[in-house]
Amino acid sequence: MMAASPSEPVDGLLASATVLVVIGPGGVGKTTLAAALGARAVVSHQRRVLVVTVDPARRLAEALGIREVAEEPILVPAGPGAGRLWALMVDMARSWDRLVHRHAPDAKTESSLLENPLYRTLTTRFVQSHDYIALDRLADLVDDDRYDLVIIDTPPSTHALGVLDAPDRMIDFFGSRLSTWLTAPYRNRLVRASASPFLAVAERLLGGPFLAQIADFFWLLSALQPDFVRRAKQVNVVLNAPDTRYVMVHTPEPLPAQRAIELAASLAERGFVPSLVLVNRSPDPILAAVTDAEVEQIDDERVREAVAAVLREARREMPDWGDIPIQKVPWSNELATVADLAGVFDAAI
Amino acid sequence: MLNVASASEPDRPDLDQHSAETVDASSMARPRLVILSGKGGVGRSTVAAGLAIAAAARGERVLAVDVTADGGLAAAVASARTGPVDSEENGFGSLEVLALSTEQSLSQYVELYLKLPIAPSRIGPIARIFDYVATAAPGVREILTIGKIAWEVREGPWDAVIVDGPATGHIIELLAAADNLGSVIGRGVLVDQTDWIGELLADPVTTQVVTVVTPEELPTSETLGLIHRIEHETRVAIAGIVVNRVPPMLGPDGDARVVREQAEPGVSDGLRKALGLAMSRSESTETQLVRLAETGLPRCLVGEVVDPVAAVVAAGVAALVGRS
Repeated sequence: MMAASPSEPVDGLLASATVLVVIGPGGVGKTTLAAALGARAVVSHQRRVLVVTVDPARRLAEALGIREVAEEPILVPAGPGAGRLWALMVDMARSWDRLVHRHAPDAKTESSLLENPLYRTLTTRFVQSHDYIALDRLADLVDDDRYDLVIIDTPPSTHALGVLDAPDRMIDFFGSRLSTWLTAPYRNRLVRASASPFLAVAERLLGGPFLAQIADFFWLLSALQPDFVRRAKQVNVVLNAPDTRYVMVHTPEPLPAQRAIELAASLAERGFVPSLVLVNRSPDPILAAVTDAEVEQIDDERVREAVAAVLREARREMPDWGDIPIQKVPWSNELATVADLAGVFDAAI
Repeated sequence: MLNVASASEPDRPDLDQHSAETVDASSMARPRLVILSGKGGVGRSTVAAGLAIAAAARGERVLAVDVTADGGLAAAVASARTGPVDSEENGFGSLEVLALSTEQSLSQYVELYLKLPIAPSRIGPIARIFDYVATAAPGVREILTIGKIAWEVREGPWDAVIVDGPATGHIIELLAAADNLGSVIGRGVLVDQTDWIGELLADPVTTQVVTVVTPEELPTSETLGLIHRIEHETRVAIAGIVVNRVPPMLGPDGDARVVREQAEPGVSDGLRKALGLAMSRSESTETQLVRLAETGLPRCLVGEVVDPVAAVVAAGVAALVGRS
């Protein structure tokens, strides 16, 4: 199928989606392309867009040409005739404080939790807590009238789809025997360590006082449970909504391409299919026209080898994405402005 | 077909000009524990596999440990062992691959250190809880991992333990876990065990880190930062840097020669573009190699090749850790 213009798949998506979840392996330029999608939606489709990132590298801020991304969305100057573009960098620590403030049943629970010595490490390192926070904010933002498109740049984690599992994991955790065991010393002072193999092992490994702090923390956290679970379910509704679309990003190198295929497979297990694949840093197609005979003509051996290496890369095969539209995005050094970002897709191959 | 043979010769003169001098294996320590570190995607598993194979090829009993448990190391080892490196002549030692998961590390740790029998069916749920709890205290998960590795070094039958380490950000936590854990949690068996593990890691005769990088700006910057942190936040010695996937370089006067080729009559637009890319790539590679040279650490350069594990072996990476 011939596209009418090289950037048609991306424009079709930007005209209709209300949430875009940008996924892909680490190091492929996901954050930059999330910003570029936002810029394009604003410049070419006059939409009111929020781009959310939890990437601690703050590359989005650089790409958008704003000095820093704060906890509250910042309006990015997008030029005349454009829609409106906001950017938000989710701050883990403050988001958790806010979450606790919102969900805590009373002031005492809130302050005890905030003062627990493990609170900070636990909330910033808790299994998939980054992912959960990102999604928790998503639930807020989707309902915010200021935006008609929210673009989420997923955190770089070993489990790139952890972000999608985070709500269920939270529900699981609170509903499971795990939290019962963890808080057992509180529920019933008579439960001796020896009664639970976990406590027996944990106490010998970690020592009693530390274990008590952990139990304390989870006991306090369980007061937040009903609200947590309710929110997690809301987030799941957003993730499954028909206008929530998924954009896969990878680069032409074999490893990221392979990882993207694997990601797509696990995405499919969750019932999601990417609506678009962006192949970032794609080689200029003009390179594909160069013949081996031409290369052989180069007299200088070292130059010939270096050119051959460049061409080998340009000729790499792309994974087969079936019916999913693919857009190749060339390498761009100059992404200093929103207009530059929006233009990334004009040069699409 | 393009001629790729030249690109697969790792001892090209333009590579040599950047490796301060060819690494002489006999002058290097020969640590039993070698931990590889590097940004995701630079070929850390490939280098780990290459090192493990090189050590096994000289008759050593080798344990290759994958701490990410993502199967990358096992795949790299398997891909290479079907190749020419697995010749049965000259006494190939042995090579075992171990993938560490929290569950495994925990059950083995409990068994090794606590002498607590836990039914295999119960370790699953306990390990799941531990996943949550271990996340709470910096270093708990890491101490389980490094504890298992250290135990293999001290008690196992291995001449070499090659660890495909975690990505850049987490290697410090792993290396420093033994020294830091005590400040976070109170007394407990975990803390009691950290002393000897810390000493084992701090002994350069036993333990060295090899950092893996590709000659690109971002991985290089990250590696330089990592080296600084290893030197300042841990007591572990660095054996050197493996610069992986070094593209063919133009050498002296490369620019002038490229410009001459571009000016040849009948050069197509595509070829002119490719020549330009080859030039800028060679220049940027050069820049990164100079930055890495400034660390003063021994370096080993591996070319861009079709069989990456074999290239690692051929490039003499093992010399960094005293294996010729």
